[in-house]
Amino acid sequence: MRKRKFKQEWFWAYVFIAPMVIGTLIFGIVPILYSAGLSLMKWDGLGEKTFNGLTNFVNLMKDEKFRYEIRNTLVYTIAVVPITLMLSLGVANLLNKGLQATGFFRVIYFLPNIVMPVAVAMVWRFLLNSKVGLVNVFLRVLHLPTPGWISDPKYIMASLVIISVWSGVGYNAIIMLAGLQGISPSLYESARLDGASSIRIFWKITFPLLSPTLFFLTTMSIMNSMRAFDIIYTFIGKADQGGPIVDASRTVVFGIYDKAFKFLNMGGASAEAMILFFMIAVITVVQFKLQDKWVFYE
Amino acid sequence: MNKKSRELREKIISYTILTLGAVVMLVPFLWMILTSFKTYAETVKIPIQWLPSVWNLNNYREVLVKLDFVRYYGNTILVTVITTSLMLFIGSLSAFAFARMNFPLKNLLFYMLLTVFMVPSQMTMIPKYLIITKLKWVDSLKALVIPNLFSVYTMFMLRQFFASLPRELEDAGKIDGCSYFRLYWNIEMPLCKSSIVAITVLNVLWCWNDLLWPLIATSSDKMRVLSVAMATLQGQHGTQYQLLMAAGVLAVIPMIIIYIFGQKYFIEGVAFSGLKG
Repeated sequence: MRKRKFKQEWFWAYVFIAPMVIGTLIFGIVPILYSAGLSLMKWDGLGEKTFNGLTNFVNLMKDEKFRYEIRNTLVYTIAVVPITLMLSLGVANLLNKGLQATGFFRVIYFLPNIVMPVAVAMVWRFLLNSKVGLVNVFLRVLHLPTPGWISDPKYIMASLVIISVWSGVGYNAIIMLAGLQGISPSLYESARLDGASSIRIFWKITFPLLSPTLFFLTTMSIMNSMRAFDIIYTFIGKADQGGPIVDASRTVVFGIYDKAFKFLNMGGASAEAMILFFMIAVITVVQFKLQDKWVFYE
Repeated sequence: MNKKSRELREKIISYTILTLGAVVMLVPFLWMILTSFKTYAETVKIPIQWLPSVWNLNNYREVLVKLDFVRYYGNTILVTVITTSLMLFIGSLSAFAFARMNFPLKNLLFYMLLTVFMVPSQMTMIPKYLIITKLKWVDSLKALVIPNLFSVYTMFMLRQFFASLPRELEDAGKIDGCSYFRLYWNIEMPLCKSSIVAITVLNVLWCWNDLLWPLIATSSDKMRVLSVAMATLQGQHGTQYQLLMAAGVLAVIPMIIIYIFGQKYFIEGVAFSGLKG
């Protein structure tokens, strides 16, 4: 009797997880292995696949476009992540002061996050237009320099960073706010009674207690920035033509897309995908290792 | 008194900074809306013309009818509704099994799923594309929906909720002779309503906004979705700002409406995912 009941439980459990497991197998595990295999092959997506060892990787190392892609991805990540997190921390702190309009501000700051990244890139392309864009109109009024945000290769990356920060602050601030609200007010009260300064309170109470949240956000932001595509693809605009603007803004995912679907170099694209995966994996592992140094778990 | 005035000053400073930030957040949206009512000449006028001289819907008409956005709208709604509902069903069903049932290889299978979740989707996109090509799904609804149905994230989040429900519920159900499916569907799912809404809202958002996969999975305009249509429009009419902005407003409005009505769930969902992560 008892045994039959167990069997029944097993049977239904397998039925319940079957769609998920089978789907993940077909569209997750098989592709991961396939991708690893393809990175060692020469293939145009149609004809014969031929094994060519590490040639795809060697070719990538020689390819200057790939070097731009790595450089741009790193520059983008190194700029976007700290700026976004610092601004978010500021916003979250202000929102945590118990002002009446907190709910209202929270809604506004989160707004960019629900907007299609393609639309975000589109509206910012207009705002950053060197002649008729609102940003330069504003800068002109203040008699500040009005760079070609989109047309000048020197500024294109700065533009991408501005857009990404703009759309990322709200999301991070809301998660940080939730973290801040979890800190017991009595801790602050007793610190204030002891006469601790606000800076000291921040470093001794807020920062350590918020550090698990900050750790999570840093890890996620780095991962997401290294994989950025939508905004960049749309923002660069005439992506098909190449040239200095594209070179100054193409990222690794952009490169994977370009190789696979424009040049039908499936092997090269897969090799680049492997490198991206490896980079993200290494950075994530390092972050977890460094965790003990600054993250405080109660 | 001194303390009070200091508090007041602090309040004023906080409000000022937050308001400036809010303006920066809102101006792009306002500008998008204003521009969508202007004529081309008005969008490139120097000095800048702030308001359209005539408020008309010509740009919207052109985008919806001439540029076929009505169809893209339909496609996007179809894809989003089907994907997110099946995603929830598949995800919650497996979440229930992992949280509430015992079976051999449970942990192994669970960690296998989590490992796949850690791998960036860009790494799997080429083989996924090859699979849908093999299956002759390119340019079909199937291609846009099926590969995205298996959301480990949804499964993982809901598993946490199911696991936090009291066990007694289940025992009561079992004594009453409930089948496992009824236990899942009639007893436990209704209890997780708010977390289901929160996760679904995030899934809808992601599905509606995603560009990379639809860009790969569709080539003609038959099954094109809004994100791809907008990227294409940007490529073809890059300087026709009034049209681009009208298209942008159209693509964004449904999410803004959902956001206004469900912002509690959005924000809770996001905050929760952050805290659990």
